[in-house]
Amino acid sequence: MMKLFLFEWKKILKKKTTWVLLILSLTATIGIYFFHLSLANNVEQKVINHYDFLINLSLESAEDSRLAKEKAIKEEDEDLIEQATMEEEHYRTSVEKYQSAKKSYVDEEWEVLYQRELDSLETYAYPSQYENAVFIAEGGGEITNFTLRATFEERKYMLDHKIDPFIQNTIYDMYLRTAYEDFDSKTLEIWEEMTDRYGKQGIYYIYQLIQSLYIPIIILLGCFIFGNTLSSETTKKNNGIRFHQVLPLNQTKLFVAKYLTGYLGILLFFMLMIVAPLIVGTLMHGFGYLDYPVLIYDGYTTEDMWKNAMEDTFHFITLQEYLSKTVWFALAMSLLIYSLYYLVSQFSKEPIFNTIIIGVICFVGMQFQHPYNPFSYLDIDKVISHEIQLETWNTDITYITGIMIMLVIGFIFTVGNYIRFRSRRTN
Amino acid sequence: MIIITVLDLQQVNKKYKNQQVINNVDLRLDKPGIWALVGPNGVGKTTLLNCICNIIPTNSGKIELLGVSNKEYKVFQQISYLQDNTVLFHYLTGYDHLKYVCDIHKLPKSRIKEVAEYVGMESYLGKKVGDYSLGMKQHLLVAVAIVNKPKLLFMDEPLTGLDPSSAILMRKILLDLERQGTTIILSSHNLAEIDRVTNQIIFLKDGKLIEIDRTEHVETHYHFKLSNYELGIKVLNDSGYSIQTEDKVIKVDVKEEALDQCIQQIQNSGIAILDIQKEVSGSEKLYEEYFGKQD
Repeated sequence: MMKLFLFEWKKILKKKTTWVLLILSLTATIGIYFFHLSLANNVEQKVINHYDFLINLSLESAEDSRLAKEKAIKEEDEDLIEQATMEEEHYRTSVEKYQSAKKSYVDEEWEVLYQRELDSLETYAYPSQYENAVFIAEGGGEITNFTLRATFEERKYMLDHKIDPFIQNTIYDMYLRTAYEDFDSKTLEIWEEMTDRYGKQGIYYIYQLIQSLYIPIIILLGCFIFGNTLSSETTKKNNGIRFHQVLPLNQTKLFVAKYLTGYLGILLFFMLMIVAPLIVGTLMHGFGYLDYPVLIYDGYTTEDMWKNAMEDTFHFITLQEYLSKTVWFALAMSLLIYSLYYLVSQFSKEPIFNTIIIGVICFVGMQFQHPYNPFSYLDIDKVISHEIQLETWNTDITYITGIMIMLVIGFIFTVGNYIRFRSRRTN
Repeated sequence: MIIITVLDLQQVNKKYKNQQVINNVDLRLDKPGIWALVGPNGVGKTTLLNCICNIIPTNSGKIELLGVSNKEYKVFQQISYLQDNTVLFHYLTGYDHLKYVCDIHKLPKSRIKEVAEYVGMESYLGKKVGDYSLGMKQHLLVAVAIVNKPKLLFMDEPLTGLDPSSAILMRKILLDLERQGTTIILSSHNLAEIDRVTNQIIFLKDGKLIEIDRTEHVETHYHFKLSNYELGIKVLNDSGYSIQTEDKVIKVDVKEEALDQCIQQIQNSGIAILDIQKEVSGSEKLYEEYFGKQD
């Protein structure tokens, strides 16, 4: 068995295409990190520019007030002198405030900024009267109380645990985007610009990748590279399977060796595609914080399953817990996608075509969310955060159900693969 | 007397869509030797060999190899099948292929070198198969097929596309294996080549097999290359053999059963045999009888 397994690995490792695709994939993921980093740097610079703009504006206003005061002194207009003095003082204070905030931002003194945000948010997040619990965002939308509370608690947690934030394009409150906002058009655009987050640190970047369906994508890419251990040997040009078939080999063992080799390849590829950007991110800007708070929705408080921004609750889990859940989820997902890919590849030999087919199946499958539909669980972030429960009004779509369903279906597909493999030879 | 059945086909059928490629075939081979499976291109020779080796399923029938069902994978410990070169992995070396086969057969690594030297591929054993010529690939396929010293060897068109030196080597290997007691079933449509290695022919026509033993009807010649040409002629003439000479090769008209005696007489005279090749003539005539005259 081990000899078979090693031979399968030798074949994979000696294929030039394997290495070319590996290098391309790594280059792409690291390239995306640097692209992401440049966006983060741009956003940081925008924030600093915004501070500079406000400082200059305040300085100019202070200078205007000083000139107005001088003029008023010449004209001996006491009221005007008093007004201009107050204005100048106000603008000078603003200059100091913005300079201080800018310095905190540039020097990454997050605790200062967090405290300032908390002071500003508390009134809105926990108002004495619900009627007042709204906030008008730039563009005119109302930020829900849920988002205000989540942002407040997130900041509080980060202050308590001394955790660095993601980069956001605002000098004001760095809102946490939640599933409770329902903006449209221009407001949505502004809201997204304000709440888009950019993680420069290694683990923060990985967290963001997970939110962007990175895991199913790399599993599928892994299938494209490593999932053809059988199909690549059953073509007209390469009939390598027949090389094995006339040796004293147990066909079940041959299947297991081929199947496991591909699966192990995908798992290694998955690890590599996670570890590579993690290392690069860590080398560039540090590892990040594993106790970063990840928002988890507690679900509906109303019986009619409707989002209640005032009443619905939430809690946070650490990024470490989130990532460990993600790993288990990714393992189950990899079995599902791989077994399906392998099955399709036993009928169609072209890896690109098979990859597209599986991509389409996954995409279409994601559109029909149901607890027993394994493709409902491909967006890991939404499952772990329970956002999918809010979207579908279905509390049965859970992390555990997802893992079970994906494993069961993956196992069924695996058996299907074996049956198909055996039927080719013995009818 | 106990007869070991080398190959036993019973009521074997293979159908592709509407075409009956193998039609209720029965065949029983009890004696060792080289058997040529002959028929025009596309008649189903490869299909039959693939069915026999359980590469493709039959629709019905029973196949036994060396007394064991062909469904038993362990039967391949004593059986080999030389297929076309699409079974090779072009990104692996010849060594990789042979090592894998040796590992599966639990043979020592030394066997790789041994067999590579025997088929004359030691100089390119470490090169990738993708860089091999057709002849080199054929050498590797032969090496893979004989590395386990099989008792029964199937060969699908082993003589096709070979350059003259490879063809000579292939014939030598076939005759060596035959002498060692290996039963060889080779498919071919090259009648001239078949004449040089066997006089046992199985025609495949309309999905049916027709077994022919031409021993009584054909002439068997052996071509000798000897270390002492002149002395060799004298010895053979004195021994009463009918001989012809051409380009320092002595062509001896000798029956299969008298070959060992002939070789002994040559060797007893202190002459070394450098090369020996078999030639059987008369296949074309038989082929025309069964398949009609080919244009």
